[in-house]
Amino acid sequence: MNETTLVLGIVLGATAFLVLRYLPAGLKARIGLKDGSACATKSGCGSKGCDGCH
Amino acid sequence: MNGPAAPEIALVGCPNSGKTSLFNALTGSRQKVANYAGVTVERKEGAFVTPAGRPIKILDLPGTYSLRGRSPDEIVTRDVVLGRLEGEEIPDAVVCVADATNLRLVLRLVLELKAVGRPMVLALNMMDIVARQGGRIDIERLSKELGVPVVETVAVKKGGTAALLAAIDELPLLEDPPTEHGWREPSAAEIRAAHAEAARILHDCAFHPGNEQFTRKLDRVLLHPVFGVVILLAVLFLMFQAVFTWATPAMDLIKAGIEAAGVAVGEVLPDGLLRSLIVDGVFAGVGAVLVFLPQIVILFFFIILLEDFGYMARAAFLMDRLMAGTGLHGRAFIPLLSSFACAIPGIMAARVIENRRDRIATILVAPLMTCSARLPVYTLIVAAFVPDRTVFGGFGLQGLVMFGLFAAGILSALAVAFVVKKIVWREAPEPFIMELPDYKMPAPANVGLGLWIRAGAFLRRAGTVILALMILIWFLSTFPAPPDGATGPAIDWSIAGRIGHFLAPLFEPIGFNWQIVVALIPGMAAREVAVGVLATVYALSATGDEVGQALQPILTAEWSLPTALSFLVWYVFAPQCLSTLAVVRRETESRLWPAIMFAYMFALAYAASFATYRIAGALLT
Repeated sequence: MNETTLVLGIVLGATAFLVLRYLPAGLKARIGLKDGSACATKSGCGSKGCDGCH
Repeated sequence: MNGPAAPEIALVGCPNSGKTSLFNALTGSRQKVANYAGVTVERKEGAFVTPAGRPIKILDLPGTYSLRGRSPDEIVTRDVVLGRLEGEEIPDAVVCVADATNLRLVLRLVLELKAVGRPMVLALNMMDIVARQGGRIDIERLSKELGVPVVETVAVKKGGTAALLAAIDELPLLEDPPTEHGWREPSAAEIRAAHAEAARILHDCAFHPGNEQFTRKLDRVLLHPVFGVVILLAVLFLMFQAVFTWATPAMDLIKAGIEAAGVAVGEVLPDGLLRSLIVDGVFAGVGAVLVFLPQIVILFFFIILLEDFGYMARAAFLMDRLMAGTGLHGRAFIPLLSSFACAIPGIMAARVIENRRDRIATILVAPLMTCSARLPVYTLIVAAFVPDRTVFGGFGLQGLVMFGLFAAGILSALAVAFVVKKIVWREAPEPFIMELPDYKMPAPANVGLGLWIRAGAFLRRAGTVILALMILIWFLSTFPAPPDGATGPAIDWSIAGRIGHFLAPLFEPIGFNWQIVVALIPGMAAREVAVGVLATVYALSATGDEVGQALQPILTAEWSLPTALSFLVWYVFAPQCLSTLAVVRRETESRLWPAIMFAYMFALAYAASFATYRIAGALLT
C-alpha cells in the first residue's frame, strides 16, 4: 500500500472516531446510532457516576 | 398485577447501599436503561426468573433516605412507590436494600415503606463486612420488629442473592393491587418519633463492636471547628506534595520508556509521512500525556483512601459552614468534590440538590474545581518554571504551587457561588442534614480496584480520544506542505499553523504565542490534550539541534515566566471541555445555562490571565 494512502486512511479513521464520539446524543439517535443513554453504564473518565460521555 | 405481564418489583434503598450491585446480580445482562419521562433521572428495568419459575420485572429506583422526596431523583422514587408517576405501573412489591454496616440510615425508610402497605422484603446487603467487623444482627428479631421478611445478601458475590430470590417467591403478590396507600408527608414530630423508633430497633437487634466510641473520640478532633479545618488543610496539602514528589521516579521511567520506543520506531521506519505521524504525532503527543499516569494514580489513591476511611463526609461537614457563607447548599459539597475527578460526574451529582437555584449555582461552579485533566498541564508548567527546591523548612516549592492552583480553583468556585447566590439570587439557605458514617479501615482490595478502574480509564482515554486527536492534530500541523523554496518551519504553512497565527492577536494581550493558541483548540475536547499538542507542534516546529528535545526544556527556553503563569491561570478558569457544556445542557434542560457558563468562564479566564501576564511582566522587568 502507498504510504500516503495509509497515512490518510489513519487520519480519516481518527476523524470519523472523533465525529461519532462528539456527535450530540439526539443527533446520534436520529441517524440510528446509539441513543446516548447507554453511556450511563460506562465510566469513561474513571469517576464514580460519570456517564462516559468523553 | 401488570395485566398478563410479569409482576413488577421496585428496588428501593439509600444511596450507596449496594442497590445497583444487587440489581445487576439479579438481572445480569437483562437490563433496559432509559430516562423517566420529562426528567433527567435514569430508569433501569430488568427481568429475572425466581427459583420457583416465576418471571419477575424489577425496577432499580434512585437512592433515597426517605419518601419525602427533596431532589428530582428522590421524587421519582417516591412517586413510583406510591403509584403516582405518570406512565409507571404501581409496583406489586418492594425490595428495600440496606447497607447492613449502616443500618440506622435505612430503618427510617423501612418504616415509611411499611406505611405504604405493599408486600416488602428487607435485603441486608454487605453482611460479610458486618461479620468481618465482628458485628451481629439478629435477623429474626429484626424481622419480627419490622413485620417484614429480612434476608442477608452479598450482592457483589456470586450466589449472594439466593435467600432474596427465595423470599420473593414467598411474597403474597396480589392479582390486582390496590392503588391507595397509607403514607403521608410526616410532620417534624413524626420524623423525630421515627428517629427514636429506628434507634430503639437498632439497639435491640444490632451489635457493632466498639467502633462508635472510636468514631466519637476521633470526631472530637477531626470535626473541631478550628483543629478540624487545620487538619483538613494539612491533609489536602500533603496530598498535593505527594502527588508531586512520589510520582517523579515512575514518571521518569515512563518518559524514558516512551522516548526509547519513539527513537527505536524512528530508526526502523524510513524518513517520510508515516514516520512523522508515529514519532511526532503518536509518540510525542500521546506519550506527553501518558507520562502523567503516576500522578493521576497517586491523587486517586488519596481520594479513595480518605473516602473509604469515612473522612470525606467529615470534610463535607467542615466545609458546610464555609459553603453556607457563600450561599451554596451543604449538599453541594459532594458534587464539588466529585468535580476534582471530572466536572461531569460532579454536575450529575448535583441532582441531589432539591432547590433548582441551588442546583444551578452548584452546576455553574463545578467546572472551576480542578479536574484531573488539568493535572498534566499544571505539572508540565510547574516543573518547567518553578524551581525544584524546598521552602518553609522542608516543603517542596513545586508542590506548594500545585496546592495553590487547586486552592485557586476552590476559592474561585466559592467566589462565583457567592456572586450568584448572595447578589443575583438572594434566598434564605435551606438546612443541611447529613449522616456521618463510622470510621473504618479502608479495604486494600477496594482501594486497589478503585485505582485499577481509574488508571484503566485514563489509559483507555489516552488510547482512544487522545490518540485520535493527536493524529488529527499531526495532520493539521503537517498539511499543506510548504511550497518549494520556503524557509522557516513547515508547520507555519500548515492548517494548524495558519489557524494559530490567525487567532494569535486575540490572545497576544495575555501573553500566548500561536503554538499555545493551537493547543487551546483541541483542548476543548479534552483539556490534557493541550500538553500533547504542544509536544507535537514544537516537535514539528523544531529545526536542527532542537529536534527530539523533550517538551519541558523547550517550554523553558521558548516561554517567558509571565506567559507560563498566564497559561496556568487560564487553565484554572477557562471553559475548556465541550463534554462538560453538553452535560450542563442535558442536566439543566436549557441552552442558556451552558452559554452563561461558557461566557463567564471565558471572561474570567481572559481577565485573570491578562492581569497575571501584565502584573508578572511589570514585576519581572
